[in-house]
Amino acid sequence: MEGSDHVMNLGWVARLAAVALLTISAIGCSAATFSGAPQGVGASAQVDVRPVSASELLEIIGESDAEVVLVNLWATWCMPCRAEFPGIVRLYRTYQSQGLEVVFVSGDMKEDIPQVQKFLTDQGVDFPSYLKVGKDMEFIDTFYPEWSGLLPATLIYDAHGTVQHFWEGEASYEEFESRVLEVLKPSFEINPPGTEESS
Amino acid sequence: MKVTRAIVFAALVVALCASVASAGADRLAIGQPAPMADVVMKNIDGGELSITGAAGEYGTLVMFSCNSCGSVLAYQDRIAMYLNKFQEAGVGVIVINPNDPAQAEVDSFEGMQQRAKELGFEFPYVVDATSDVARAFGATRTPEVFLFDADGLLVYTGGIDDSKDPEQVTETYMADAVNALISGDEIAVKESRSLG
Repeated sequence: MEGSDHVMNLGWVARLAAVALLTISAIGCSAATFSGAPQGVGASAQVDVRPVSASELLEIIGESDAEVVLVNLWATWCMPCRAEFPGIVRLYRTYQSQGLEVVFVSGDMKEDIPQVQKFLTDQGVDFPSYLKVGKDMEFIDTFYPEWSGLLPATLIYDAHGTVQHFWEGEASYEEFESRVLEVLKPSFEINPPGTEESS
Repeated sequence: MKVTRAIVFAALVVALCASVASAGADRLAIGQPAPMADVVMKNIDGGELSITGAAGEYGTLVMFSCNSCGSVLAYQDRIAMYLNKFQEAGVGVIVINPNDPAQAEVDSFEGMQQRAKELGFEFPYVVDATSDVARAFGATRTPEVFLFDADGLLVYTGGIDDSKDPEQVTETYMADAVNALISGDEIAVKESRSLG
């Protein structure tokens, strides 16, 4: 019976916790900076950070016209994410003209959008980026169930929207490049860049 | 609160999170015993404690955590609230910091003591100086929960609840598992996943 009393107490604590944290969370939970509109916060020069659910992200990937889509899931507080980030941006600059699209999805909280924007701006990202919305497990299960949720995580899709590479954890520029080229290469063989189709 | 906010801000700027066990063992599976359970680690009270030494009447909750990770910062009030209550209820609690303080100053032993004081930790918060314990568990993020029953076997692993945003929480996985453990019921959700 003593155990049962504890169970009741813990159940009460569980309910209380969510309510109490609305007021005592050190990070704060104001929604004021996140209207849901697809626009950034602050200066217009800042990167556009858009909220995205897992299903919306899958739609974006599916509707892309790119030969290869690289999706990188990251967070400002994730050191390995920050470490590999410049390499991904460099990769994008190198292979953008050959059909590579990069989609960054931050796992930060909505209150941290200013930090996300600052990081993206500092990294030279000048295309729209995304911030994951919704619950973690729901997002993981909908987006890519094999993903454990570990950050960073990267998926490389081919032109048909099929995942050709998926991995968790930090990777080097060379690793990113070789995996992208592996997917990009067949397109080159069919229609190499700079080659005009004869009419 | 001002001090806490300052630490939070500093941590976000430094932006370091658990680089835990990137090349470690597979994540501990349900039904397995805790690895390295008898390894003693330095506790914030100045003493030393092992996972076995922290065991409670109903079982033991092992949490890998730190002072610097953004996920932990989002959860730190919940961690304090839940774990204090669990320990009071008879579940042993041990929070293990596997992070290298050279990477984030707030993860120093003194930083751990300060954070525990600020948040009112009444449970052990120990240093995994080599990260070997985290690697042995296959822990990959912070906070990450491993709940063992009175026989020392893993009965729940994963996150605290289903949202870093406390406004969005609807599933309290960790608390539900502890409740079931204490009451002798089957734990409905034995594993959960979260970003981290």
